[in-house]
Amino acid sequence: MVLTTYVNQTLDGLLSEYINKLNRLKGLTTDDFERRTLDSDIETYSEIIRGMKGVSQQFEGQLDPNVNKDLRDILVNFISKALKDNENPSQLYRIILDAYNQEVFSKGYEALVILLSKIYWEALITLGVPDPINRQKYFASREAKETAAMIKGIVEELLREALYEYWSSRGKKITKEEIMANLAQYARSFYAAWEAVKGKIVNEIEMLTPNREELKDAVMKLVDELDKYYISFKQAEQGRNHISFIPELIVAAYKAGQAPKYIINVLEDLIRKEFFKNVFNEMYNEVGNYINQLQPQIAQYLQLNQPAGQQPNAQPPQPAQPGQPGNQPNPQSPQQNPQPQNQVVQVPPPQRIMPQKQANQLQQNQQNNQQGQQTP
Amino acid sequence: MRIAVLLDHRWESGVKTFSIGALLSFLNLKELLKLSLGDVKIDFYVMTFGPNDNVEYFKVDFNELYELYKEGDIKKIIELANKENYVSISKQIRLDDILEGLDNSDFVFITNVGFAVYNKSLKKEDLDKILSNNGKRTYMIMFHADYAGNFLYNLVEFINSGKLKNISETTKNKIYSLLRKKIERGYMTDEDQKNLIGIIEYLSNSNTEEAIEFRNKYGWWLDEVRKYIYTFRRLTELKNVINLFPTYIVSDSNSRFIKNVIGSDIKKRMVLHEPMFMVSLYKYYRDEIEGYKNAYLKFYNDNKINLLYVGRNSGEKGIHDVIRLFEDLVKEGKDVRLIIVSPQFGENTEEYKRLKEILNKYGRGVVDIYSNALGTSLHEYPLYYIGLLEALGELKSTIFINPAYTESYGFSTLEALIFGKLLVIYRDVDGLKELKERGYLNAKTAFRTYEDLVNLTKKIIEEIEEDLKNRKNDKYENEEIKNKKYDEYVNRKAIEMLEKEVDPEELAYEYAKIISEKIYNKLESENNNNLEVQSKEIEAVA
Repeated sequence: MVLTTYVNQTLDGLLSEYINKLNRLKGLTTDDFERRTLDSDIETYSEIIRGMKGVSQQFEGQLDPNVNKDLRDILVNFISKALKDNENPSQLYRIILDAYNQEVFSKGYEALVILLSKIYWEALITLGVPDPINRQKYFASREAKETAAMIKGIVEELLREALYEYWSSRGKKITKEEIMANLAQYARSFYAAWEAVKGKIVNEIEMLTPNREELKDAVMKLVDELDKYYISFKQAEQGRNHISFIPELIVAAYKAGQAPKYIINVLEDLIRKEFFKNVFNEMYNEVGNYINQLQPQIAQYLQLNQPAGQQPNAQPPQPAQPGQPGNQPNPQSPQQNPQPQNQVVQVPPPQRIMPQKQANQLQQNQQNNQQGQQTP
Repeated sequence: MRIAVLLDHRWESGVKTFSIGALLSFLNLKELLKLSLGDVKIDFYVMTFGPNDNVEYFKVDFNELYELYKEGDIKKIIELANKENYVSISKQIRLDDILEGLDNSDFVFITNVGFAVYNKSLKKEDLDKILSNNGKRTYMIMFHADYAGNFLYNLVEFINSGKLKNISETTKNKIYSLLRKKIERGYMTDEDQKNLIGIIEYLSNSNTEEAIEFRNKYGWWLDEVRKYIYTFRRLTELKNVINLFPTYIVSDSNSRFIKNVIGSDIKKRMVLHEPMFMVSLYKYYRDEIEGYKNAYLKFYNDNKINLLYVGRNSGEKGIHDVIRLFEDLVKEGKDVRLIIVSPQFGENTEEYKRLKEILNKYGRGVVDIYSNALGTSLHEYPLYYIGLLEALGELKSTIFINPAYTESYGFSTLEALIFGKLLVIYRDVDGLKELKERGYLNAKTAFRTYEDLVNLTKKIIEEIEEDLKNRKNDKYENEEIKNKKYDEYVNRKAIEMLEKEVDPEELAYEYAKIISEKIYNKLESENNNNLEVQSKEIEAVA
């Protein structure tokens, strides 16, 4: 599973960076207290990362429709509705992925604020605060509320820092204390930004077909389902059979280390490595591959069962294109050189002074060369 | 925890070069401390010269630099620091804001001990506020120069300028004698330092004609020397201060000078390499540099012997010795090329005119100048400079010459060693003497007097010519044999180690060590206090 591989590789890489640095610091000191503290730092980071890796193991199989029957039903419904409306399911699916990438993940630092606001508001809603968009109240189990309280505690500190950074970089004068005092209010618009992507997807579907209701319903069911696997936990029922990857990651980190200061470091570094964007794309790619696999079977089934005289206009499954499902994640790479290796490029020449006689001779030679070239 | 860093960006010299390297160290330091101690707030305050040479103060957005660092955009960080003095990511503040910022910090790092010198806006009481902590804060303060040596060379330059009409032969001889002794020994003895202090006191207080004239012409210099001495005095009184020096020689010379002039010692001293930002560029942009190296290889691939001088156009740096050496070589028929990399080497300078005269008089030799003043600077985009050094190093026909009379550390020499693995001929003084003792510079290429310089250069030129001849005749297949003579003078292994030692990101570990020691001591004592309180409570309950 590419997602698990990516997550594990990224987390392992981060942990070995931490251990190398802390071990080097340890090597520089002879103070026992400091050495013990640094050892315990290494232990804490190892536990946090171990806990986080456990989530990706638990997650394994969750996006496989052969294992997850709920997801299979939703995918079959989506593909069937698309094919019946003469739409290519893969292309339709691409609309969803593009919408999230355009509206959230292409926005640099703002994407981080949106993700954290989404998680923060999901926690508030689970704790009983009405959803700020539809004013709906959800009734969560005690267990879900306990988890939400834990997530809120960790995320609010991160969100405060992220909002401060976001507004400061835009020249806004605001203090961290002001942000903290009005955190829910400030995070509301960013939470709404995530939810608004669904509106954009609906809009695109409505422009695509007059048979909007059925197709729209199938697409939105898929969007909501994938939302749950990635980030949403506000409607998590007791005994549910899936986990929300990002919040679970934070909870696992907390349970493993009980050290918010360290978790914040880890999350900040993951954000810089575009981990959350890559996880999102990887999840969507994985589901996209299953859509490609299921599509011919469903097309065949529909063809066999269609009323006489009608031919479905379904396309055969498409191989993955660049930027489409099936691509490798794109973790942050070191800066690429603008020039190819070994190419001779322009450099500033010096001012050269030489004996007047030589300079005159050189000038004369150059003139002769030029004349020679003019009169072959 | 809060760390305040006061960066002195007023001078286009080693002080600024150090400050840029220190920035890269602090970016990694934030990362290292964060891993163990949680988020560390680092405030960067910068001093620059504004209009009318007034000093202006700015607060830099450190978080923005940190984001660039995490993205690996080292070029952008260095451009912001070097070219812009952080203008686009900082806001101007008042001196009072800095005083308040420093007062609220646990650590204060001052990148130049001379921050109060040539600074009209900073009064004595401000300096007192900056350097007073009642043991609360820890200070790290960087000394960049052998100040006694600098003061001595300033006096030599004043005399040489010819502006002091009444200066007596006795005073002149005393000053020249001190310089001669410094060059002979490579450092100033206690006795010489005391004699220097005596001369400065005499020029400051005496009513003789020469002293009055000196005060009229160079009273400003005496004021600045007094400010240095006042700063040193404050440092001897300050608690929790770590005085940082780039070399043991500079550490020793300054601490003896402070003792000799003030009567008491500076307490904690530490010798640490200066972080070199060029090494970070070299590490992050190897491929791009390769392109520039290839371009310069084409430009200089003519088997000529090059003499490379990199430094300011000033007597203190020995530029006149280089020009004299060039003249002596071309006079004897050597068709050498002198490459000068110097920020202010314009066509109107005496030195430029003199070089032109020499070339025309003897009809041979070439001079290449890379300078801001001529629009041919390499330091505007330092990757070009690294490329040039790499190319010259590969050609193995270049002698880097550092004839400075006073050199605390020698950034340009270290760059020539690290990027070019160049053969370096250097004056055996101050920091350069120590680089020799630590094995980076070859002991056989050190000189003291001008005569030594000429003889040594001629000998080495002959040896390189032998290498070039072997190469031309393709007499040996083995590269090592072809460049035998040249390579014998370059201590490659030591230089490879040096490259790591001056890497700003590596030096961050040293700074982290200093800072964490203080913090862990505090944490440990808090921990012990808590244990004591707990055991008392248990006893009380029992």
